[in-house]
Amino acid sequence: MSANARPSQIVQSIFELQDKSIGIQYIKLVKSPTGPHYIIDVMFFTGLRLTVDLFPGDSSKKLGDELREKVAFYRVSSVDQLSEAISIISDCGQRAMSEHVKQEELEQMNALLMKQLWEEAAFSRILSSAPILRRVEYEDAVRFLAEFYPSEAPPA
Amino acid sequence: MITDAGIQERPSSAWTVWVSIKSPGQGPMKLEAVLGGGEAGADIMESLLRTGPKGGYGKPVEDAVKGFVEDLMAAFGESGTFFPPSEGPEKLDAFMKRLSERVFRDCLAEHKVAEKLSYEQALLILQEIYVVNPIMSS
Repeated sequence: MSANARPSQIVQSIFELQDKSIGIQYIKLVKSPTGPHYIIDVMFFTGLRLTVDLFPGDSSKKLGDELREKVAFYRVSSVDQLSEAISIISDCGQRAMSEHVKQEELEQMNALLMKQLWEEAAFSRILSSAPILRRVEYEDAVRFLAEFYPSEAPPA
Repeated sequence: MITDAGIQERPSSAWTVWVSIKSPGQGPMKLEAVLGGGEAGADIMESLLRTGPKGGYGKPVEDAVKGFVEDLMAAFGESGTFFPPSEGPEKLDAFMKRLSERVFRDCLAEHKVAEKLSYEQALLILQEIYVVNPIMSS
């Protein structure tokens, strides 16, 4: 991970994911020098590199559609292969632009925050995409989660 | 990781058991076996894996299938062999509950959730999925 955020420079941070199973080398988030938006710059292991603009309030669906369109345009054979990666990037982007992330945090965007957003998006994606997991009741899911945090979670 | 699974009666009084698995580098796959009753767990596992590539599916997939067969036999095994369910949906429901809960726990472990997210973050994700976007509780 590395981060550069000095006022005199372009505000950007790089999250070196290097995850071959998901197909991504790195994700870079850059504050646009010309507008209120950010730019996601993602490098895939297939050699494909894409950017997508990110505005406050953008939905995961909008970002996903745009990324899928670009992958289909530049590397149509990779659409299926990169589908999961695109879903997580989109969710990650939506989280970065949501009200939960404070503006000053975003402006000082660092790789650690990006990593956290990525992990949240990846966890959400895993739990949402497997139909068998939908059979687990919420109360049971919370109880199972608590088992993994014996010192932090309140007793079930 | 197992993403879905089921067991369904066929018109010929046999049963189809199936399990969908997603494994890194292999993409999603659906494995099926037709059972008539009397099969041992090892036979069921062999039937599910019979269409695999040369050299097999690999350990992650085989482990997932093993877990599925163990839960199947715990629900429908008698004297070490598969005994087709004959009465009501209770046993089927119990089987799917047991399987889904084990898969959920395995998923948390495999994802190393406690290393990657704080408890509060992980809990918020669960609330997002179940409460804000309740696809899982439907």
